[in-house]
Amino acid sequence: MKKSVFLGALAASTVLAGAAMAATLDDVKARGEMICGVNTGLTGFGMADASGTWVGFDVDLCRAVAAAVLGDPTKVKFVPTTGETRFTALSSGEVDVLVRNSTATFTRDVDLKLDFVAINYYDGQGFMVKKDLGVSSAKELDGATVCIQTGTTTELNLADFFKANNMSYTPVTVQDDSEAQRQYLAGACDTYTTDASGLAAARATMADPANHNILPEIISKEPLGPVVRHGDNQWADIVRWTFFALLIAEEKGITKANIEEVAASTTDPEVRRLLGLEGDMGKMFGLDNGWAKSAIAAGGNYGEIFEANIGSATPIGLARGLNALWTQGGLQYAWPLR
Amino acid sequence: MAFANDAGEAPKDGFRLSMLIYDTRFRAITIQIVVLFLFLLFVGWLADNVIQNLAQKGKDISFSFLNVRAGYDIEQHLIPYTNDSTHGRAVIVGLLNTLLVAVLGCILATIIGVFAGVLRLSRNWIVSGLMTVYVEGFRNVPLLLWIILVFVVMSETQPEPKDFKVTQAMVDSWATPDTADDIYPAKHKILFGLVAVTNRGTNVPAPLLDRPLGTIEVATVPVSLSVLATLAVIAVSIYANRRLLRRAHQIQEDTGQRPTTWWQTLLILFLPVIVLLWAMGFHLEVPAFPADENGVSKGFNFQGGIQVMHSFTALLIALSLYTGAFIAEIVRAGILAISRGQSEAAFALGLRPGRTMKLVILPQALRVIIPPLISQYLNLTKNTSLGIAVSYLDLRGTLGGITLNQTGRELECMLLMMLIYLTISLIISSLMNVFNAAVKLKER
Amino acid sequence: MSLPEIDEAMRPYVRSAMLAAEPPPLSERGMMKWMRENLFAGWVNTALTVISLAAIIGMIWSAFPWWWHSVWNAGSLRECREIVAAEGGTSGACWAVIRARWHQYLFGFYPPAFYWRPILASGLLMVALSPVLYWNNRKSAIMTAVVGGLTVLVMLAMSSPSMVTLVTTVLMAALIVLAWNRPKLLIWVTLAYPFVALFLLWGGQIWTYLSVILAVAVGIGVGLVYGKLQDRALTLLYSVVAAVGAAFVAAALIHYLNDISADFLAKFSAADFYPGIGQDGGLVAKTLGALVSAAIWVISVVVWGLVALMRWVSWVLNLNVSMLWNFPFASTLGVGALLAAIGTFQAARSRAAGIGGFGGLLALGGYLLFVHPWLTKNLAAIMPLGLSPVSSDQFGGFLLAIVIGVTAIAASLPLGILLALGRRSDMFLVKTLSVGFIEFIRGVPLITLLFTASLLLAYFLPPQTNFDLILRVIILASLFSAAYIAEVVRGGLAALPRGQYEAADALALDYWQAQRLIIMPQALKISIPGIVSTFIGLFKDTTLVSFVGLLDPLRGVTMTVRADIAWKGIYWEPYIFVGVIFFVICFGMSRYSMYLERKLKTDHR
Repeated sequence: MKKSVFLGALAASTVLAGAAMAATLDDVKARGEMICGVNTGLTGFGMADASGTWVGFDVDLCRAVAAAVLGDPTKVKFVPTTGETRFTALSSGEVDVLVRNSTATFTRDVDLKLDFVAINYYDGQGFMVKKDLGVSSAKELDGATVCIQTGTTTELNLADFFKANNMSYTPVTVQDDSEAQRQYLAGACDTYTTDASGLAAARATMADPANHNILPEIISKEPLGPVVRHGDNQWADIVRWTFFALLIAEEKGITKANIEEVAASTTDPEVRRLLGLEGDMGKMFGLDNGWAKSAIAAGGNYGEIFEANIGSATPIGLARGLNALWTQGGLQYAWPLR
Repeated sequence: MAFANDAGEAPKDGFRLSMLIYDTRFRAITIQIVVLFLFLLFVGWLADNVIQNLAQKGKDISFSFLNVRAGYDIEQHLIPYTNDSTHGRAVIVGLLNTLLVAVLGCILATIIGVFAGVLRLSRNWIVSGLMTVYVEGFRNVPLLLWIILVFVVMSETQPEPKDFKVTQAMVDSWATPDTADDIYPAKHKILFGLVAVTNRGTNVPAPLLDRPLGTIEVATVPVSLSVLATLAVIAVSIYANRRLLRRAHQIQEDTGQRPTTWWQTLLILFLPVIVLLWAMGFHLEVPAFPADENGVSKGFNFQGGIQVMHSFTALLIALSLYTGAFIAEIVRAGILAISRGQSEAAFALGLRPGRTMKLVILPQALRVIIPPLISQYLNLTKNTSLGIAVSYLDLRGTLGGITLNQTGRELECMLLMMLIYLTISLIISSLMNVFNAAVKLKER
Repeated sequence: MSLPEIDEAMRPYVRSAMLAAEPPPLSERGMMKWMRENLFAGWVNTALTVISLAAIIGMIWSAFPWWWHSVWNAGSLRECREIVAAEGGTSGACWAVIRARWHQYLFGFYPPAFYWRPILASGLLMVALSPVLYWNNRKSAIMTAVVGGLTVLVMLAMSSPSMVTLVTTVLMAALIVLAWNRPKLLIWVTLAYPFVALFLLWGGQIWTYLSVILAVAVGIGVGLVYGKLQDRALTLLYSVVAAVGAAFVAAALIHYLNDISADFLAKFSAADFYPGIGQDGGLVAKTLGALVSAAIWVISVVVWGLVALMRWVSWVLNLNVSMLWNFPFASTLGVGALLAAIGTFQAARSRAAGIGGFGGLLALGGYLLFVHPWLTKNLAAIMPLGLSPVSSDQFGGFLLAIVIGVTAIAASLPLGILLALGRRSDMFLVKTLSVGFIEFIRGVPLITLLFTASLLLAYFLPPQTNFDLILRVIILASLFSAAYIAEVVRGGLAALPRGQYEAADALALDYWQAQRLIIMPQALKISIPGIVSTFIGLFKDTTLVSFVGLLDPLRGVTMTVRADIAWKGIYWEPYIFVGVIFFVICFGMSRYSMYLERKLKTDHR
């Protein structure tokens, strides 16, 4: 108590310098570059290729935001973060936005003072087993050895799941995805649990995909999305609406290829608002009116980004599933742009 | 208020301000005040920044998260722990895991280091060459690489648990009288069927008691009375044995005849323990696959016994080998520091090389060896934090890893972790310094 | 028979010519003798030999097929496996991954077009080190020649731009000529190297660097010139005291104007602060409570006053704190300030001349803060001359390891020497602080310090201060190695005979003169092997930076490589490749350290 009185008084007396939380948008504009926290290496979602260029589903969202804010999708710096350093990197201002397949949860939203502004991938935690194990349901995994990545929500989900089903298990915590896959393939664990998208990606890239089963149970909800700092609503709006712009573009059939054509010919009022031909949407949050157009032109609409990085045409081969547009039975639903 | 005098003038009596700098009596105080001033400034600046940053993030400093349910599992726990335990308990579990690796590592590294150091001086060309390769190889490659490599070797080269399983086909083949078509599991347990090494861990038998003496709770940690009783009996036996040997020695001094004591020693050392263990119903629980009535194995892994995770074994082996290489160099340098005359004198007395080493060289070399050895022990203890590479849940893995990550209390977790590591280091170095002072050559 | 007769009689039977020597028995010569004495002397020895041979053969036997089926040309791990299978092997090394990604292991994401910059920087590093590593001019010259030749060869092999190769060749030739003819001048290359390396690696306008060099020169020059004048030394002390006093007054005024002081004082009144003791206890307890709270009050006012002072200073100077953390800027400022401080101390011995150094320091600081940004901006606008900037997040692989290792060791040397002197100091406070710092740093694992760099440093710096993770890691690594260097230097100081100190006293040298002229040259010389060992340790430990998300060669780059679908599942090859490079570098350095130890060992037992 005494200490807190002392520190409190000290804090009160030193507010005179009064450094208010600066607006992220102004920082980004002043810097001429957006800094985006991404995964150190997760196939399909965020990784650097042989030439050092970052590619992936999350990375393309960063580029879209950079394009919306600065008009140039290349003006973004990628900072690889680990599961342990990611939220600190965001809250200390080291990165402007974190797009690193992070699950939105109550504590992260409230206690860590972060804002999950949108969900760019709806996921759930699943299990993968080798076929010859003869297991067809996660309920049969009593006594199994389970590989999990540390520093994620999956650890807690796993404990909860086994507890709820009154089963026991042996956890093998692993630092990163590639090491977990190695251990799983070597048979050091019976099953590997992580987000179902990660499992599908892992299975697709294994030497013998047919010998591995992904069990039907999805034991958790894993809404993954871009995160910003709490308290900077303008910046949160920008990231959220950039994402929604990509969704609306898919809804309206605007692609990277035809965007100029659509802009020249469209009469749809929402598309005209989206492309900055009508209204002052961009000005309202401090961008120019072509923000959404630049964002879409950067990597295409949501569907294009999905297909290019993790879709069925890629080695990862994920189906849209929950991430289809709401009109096609999925959950991706953009708010009206008006 | 005058500035310093002109150079030519004779110094006046009394205090002048310039004496604060030029007079050696006061200069030390002046400097210390300036240093204190700067230090306080620095500390104040840090404290101020922390307060401002915390205020800006809307956080406070609170260690109450230590009482919150942890929610995650730790496979290797020396005290009872489940995911319902608190973060505080998880921290203690992690700390004990750190200490376990550190203590075993120090012992193992010392053994390896002494052997390698002595063998490196061997006249045997192959042996000394091999030891040189070992020492240089381990010293010049990052420890992290060794930890990862040892771990990979263990998890890639050892069989999977299913290779130990008995299948229906095997049981069927045994049922037929024809023994030629019998098939057996691909792998068998080693050491008389007691130990199974799989790519997940080493399954060793667990000591169990049929009639345990019960447990008492000490600060929420159950302490087994049986273990305490066993330890007490062993201690008493050792004491009795020493008394016996001292008496034998006395008789030898007096009469020149040493009485035969070896059977008494064996009896005193082992009989009481065996009797006690027998009374408590001691037996080993051998790890085995659960089997149905036909003898067909079920389940995923061995049950019963103790599974020593490979993350622990790999960390222990890599740390011991790495530190052992450094200790080998220290031991070698220590032996070489003893002048040749010492060993020549020992040979002149007719001592064999082995006894020369044991009785003459090593005791003297020890004085040279111990100070750098202490710093190697400290290094090893600190290097246990590299368990992160194989996800060994030590102090860094629990407090500085999962707990930090789940609670978002990085300031508290990091400070607490540093404090604990610092405490361990200080304890080790002070214990070792006491030991060093005890064996130091008393110079007069 | 008389004796001569006997002698005579015996004579025919005594051999007068020597027999030809028999060859020694088979077991006592050549190969057999060597083997018997070295391999099979005694049964323990024989057993050891057999065990060792079995171990060696076993290792070769198990690993041979894997090495034998090495694949160098393949586009992915799958292709590798197909080629191995086609050859009829079960397992084989897939070195194709190294062939495809070696540049990332060496340079990280450094732009490939600029690979010549780190290469030239490392070549120059060796040249700059040559006068330090070898105190023999001839050997330094030989080293310079070898390094120069190698650098040009590597440039050619990497097919660098021909202009760059040409310039490198000319530069290296010039350096070799310099090293051969005027070896003493090589030390200037060493001094200039930090600026050159920063410029080469990070790029930017050359004016920035030239301006800073100029500033340092001007600062030292002003200090030296001023130092010659016989002035009143105490002006220094008085001006500092006056400035501090003025700052306190100003801070108090601001404080008052903000109307916080009343609130602040109220918070610390005795009754409020120690209610338990102050109100209910007896006289003793009351007095004690009052004393304790008074002490706390004084301390907090001092701390608060200091903080307010810092705020006030930064407000007056209108400092933008984040500006200070621009990497080249901050580091050069540090180096400049250090040099100026050395100038101050040097000047201070002529009694009146401390002010000179202080003036130099002020001139330097003023220049850096006000003139430098303006000057470089305008010069760059008038005549742009420089290299394209490379941001430090593009550094990776061995480039990152070497940058962190070399910078941290170089930065830790001055701090380590000060700490070592502090630890040996008679002054209680200085000693306590030094010991506290050294023991704290040595007591915690490096990895916690790295996590501090990535997680905690943001708490300890002013809000909105943000700078590169690499720079933060370098700072923490420097503090880490400073503690170890301090212990090494302390060992060197302790090894000096007392006579050296006494001789310095007898010559009436003051403390810093004695350190500079007598003690340090000798102590540092005998500390070099220890410093090299510390560097080896730190260099190996740079692999830990991957845990805070940096691209170290061991885990960071490997993780990136394995995230690529083509190389998913590759394991041994990257680790072996990285391990071999680490071994070559560290082994070379440890051999050098041993060579030096032998050279330094002047005692004969």
